[in-house]
Amino acid sequence: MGFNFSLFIHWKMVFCSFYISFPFYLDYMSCIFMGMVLLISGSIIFYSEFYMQSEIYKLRFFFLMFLFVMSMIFLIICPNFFCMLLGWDGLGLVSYLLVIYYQNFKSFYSGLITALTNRVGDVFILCSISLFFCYGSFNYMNFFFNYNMYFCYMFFIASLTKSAQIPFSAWLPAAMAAPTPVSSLVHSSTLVTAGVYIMIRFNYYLIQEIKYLLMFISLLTMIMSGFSGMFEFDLKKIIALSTLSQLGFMMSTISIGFYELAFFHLITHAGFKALLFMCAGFFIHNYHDNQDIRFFGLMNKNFCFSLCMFNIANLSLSGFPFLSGFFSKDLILEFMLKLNFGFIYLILFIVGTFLTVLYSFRLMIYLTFKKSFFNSVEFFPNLLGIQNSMYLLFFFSVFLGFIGSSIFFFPYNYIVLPFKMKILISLICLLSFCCSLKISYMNLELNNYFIMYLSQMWFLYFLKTDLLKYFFLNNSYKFSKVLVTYIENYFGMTLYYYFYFFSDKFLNFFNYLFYLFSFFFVYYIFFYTFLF
Amino acid sequence: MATRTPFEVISHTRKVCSLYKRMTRNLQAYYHDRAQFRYQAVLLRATFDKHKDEKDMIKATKLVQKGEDHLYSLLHYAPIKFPNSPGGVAYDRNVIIPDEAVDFWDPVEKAFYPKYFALREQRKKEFVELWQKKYGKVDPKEYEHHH
Repeated sequence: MGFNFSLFIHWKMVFCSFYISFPFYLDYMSCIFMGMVLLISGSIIFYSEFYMQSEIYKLRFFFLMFLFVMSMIFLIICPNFFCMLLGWDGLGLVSYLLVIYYQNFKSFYSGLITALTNRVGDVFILCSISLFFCYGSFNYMNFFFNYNMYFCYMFFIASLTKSAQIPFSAWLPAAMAAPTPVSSLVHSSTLVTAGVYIMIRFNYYLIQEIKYLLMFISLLTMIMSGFSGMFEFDLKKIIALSTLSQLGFMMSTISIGFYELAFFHLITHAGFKALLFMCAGFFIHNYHDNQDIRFFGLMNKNFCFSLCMFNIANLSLSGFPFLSGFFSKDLILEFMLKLNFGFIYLILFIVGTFLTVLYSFRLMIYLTFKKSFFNSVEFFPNLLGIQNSMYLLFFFSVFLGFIGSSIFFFPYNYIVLPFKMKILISLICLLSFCCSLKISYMNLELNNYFIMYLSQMWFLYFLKTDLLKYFFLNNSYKFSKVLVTYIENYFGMTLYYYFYFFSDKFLNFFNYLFYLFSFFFVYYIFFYTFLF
Repeated sequence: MATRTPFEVISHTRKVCSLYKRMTRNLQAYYHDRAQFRYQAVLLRATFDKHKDEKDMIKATKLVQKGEDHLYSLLHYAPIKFPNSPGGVAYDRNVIIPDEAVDFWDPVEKAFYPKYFALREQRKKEFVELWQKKYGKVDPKEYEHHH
């Protein structure tokens, strides 16, 4: 790297008997990332001025956005754990407030999931701060050699929660209940990449066991989100799941030690993902808040410009040659092939890549070539403000990879591989393209639990949301009133319905589980009251 | 858990219509191409029309039950939901708090903003006067027997 220059500013505010210190650490990484965050947030604030035109609580929205950007910058430039916690907690809190910006129940539950999952990470960061008391300083670059292993595990779990890796990944698609500019800023390029960024910053501390664990978890996340993206119909959720898969990709890159390459992918990914979300917001706005891609279609007729941008960003995501995603992704994949770290991991990696291309092309086919379910006369095809906000990001999503690879990551450009290995990735992408054609024109009329399992993120979503919603929250409400109404709730006519649903037909699998739990409860009360 | 007490008698016609609608929506979730969907919908309609003139109610009820079972076996994992209907993404997004909610504030809370509430009371009086001027006075005794 030619960027060995870094700047450490220690800002001391001295009062009479004490002082507050606020350190900044500026090196090439924090500067580039901060620049990218500011660029994206600037475009998005410009964009949301048009997008949120008719909203009632517009002012609250903008204040929250500014707060969010501020806490992100705290996280980026502070090497001190206390200051970093300011940004980290700020991100969690403000993202919660942004997710519950709309006031329906769906947003409320999504916000709850987001906040609770991020809280887990916050707790682990707090624990690691308390561990830092043993070392006399809170600046994390002071401990290159002498560190605690527990600390390592703690920030590992914290970054897993922020980056929505596998046990904690339910919140990322749920958080799509937020308005689209928020998704564009928060859930594509800033909040979820905070975990990856922290991991890159702390790469000195990663011990070998954690690296193996991280690789396993991130590859599983990549495949899980790829499968769910393949069967999902919600436009924003598909893009969110693709973000999740890219996060898994970055995490696995960190786990094999190429943290600079992961950072490069983070930057390029931030650009085109924000653009993707902005275009998606434009479509959703024009289709009257419809997010189902089954309603969309023939966009090339109505929104040529936005669809063009959307498709280019999508191609860049799937690694089309010489767009920005290609330079980072192809580099990482070729390093993976070069490394020889195990056949199963390699297969997982290739399946992940295959799925990435597959769902992006499926999305493109659905939006471009399929027929629309309805036609509205109220399209706004050329909203100039929205289009103007996209230009800059469009430029970056095309050229940033080239610029980055030719200037910043020059020494990584020479990789020698056997011919079959070299051509493997391209062949996988071609195969995936053909499969996506097949999948998007396929009409599977069968109620397949396996597809359901794949589309619901391996039932992670159920574990986090539905269980919380239907079981814990509802039952806590009921138990609070149990003295008054338990007879009505658990006996009488309801008991008949338990047996009825148990007998031959229950509505679906989730209801089945719910009734199962409730039935045991009834059973318990029944025997308890009669036996004792 | 909500008690599932039947509050009304649902007629057989309504059950059949409801089943037909749900089945069509389910087809819509599967067939994204309009032409294909129309073809399947016509087939579905034909199966319903076949038993249109069924006079035997036991047989008809069994047919509805069979249809329900068939629908359950083919339920889509991501059914189509319209955005502004219940279950949709944009349902009930903006809750506008009505203005009269301010009247239910605690007197202690109201005491924090004395200027505003004084003006508010005055405005309310003015509004009543304006209303009475326009529509005439209402004798409160007229409304007593309604309560």
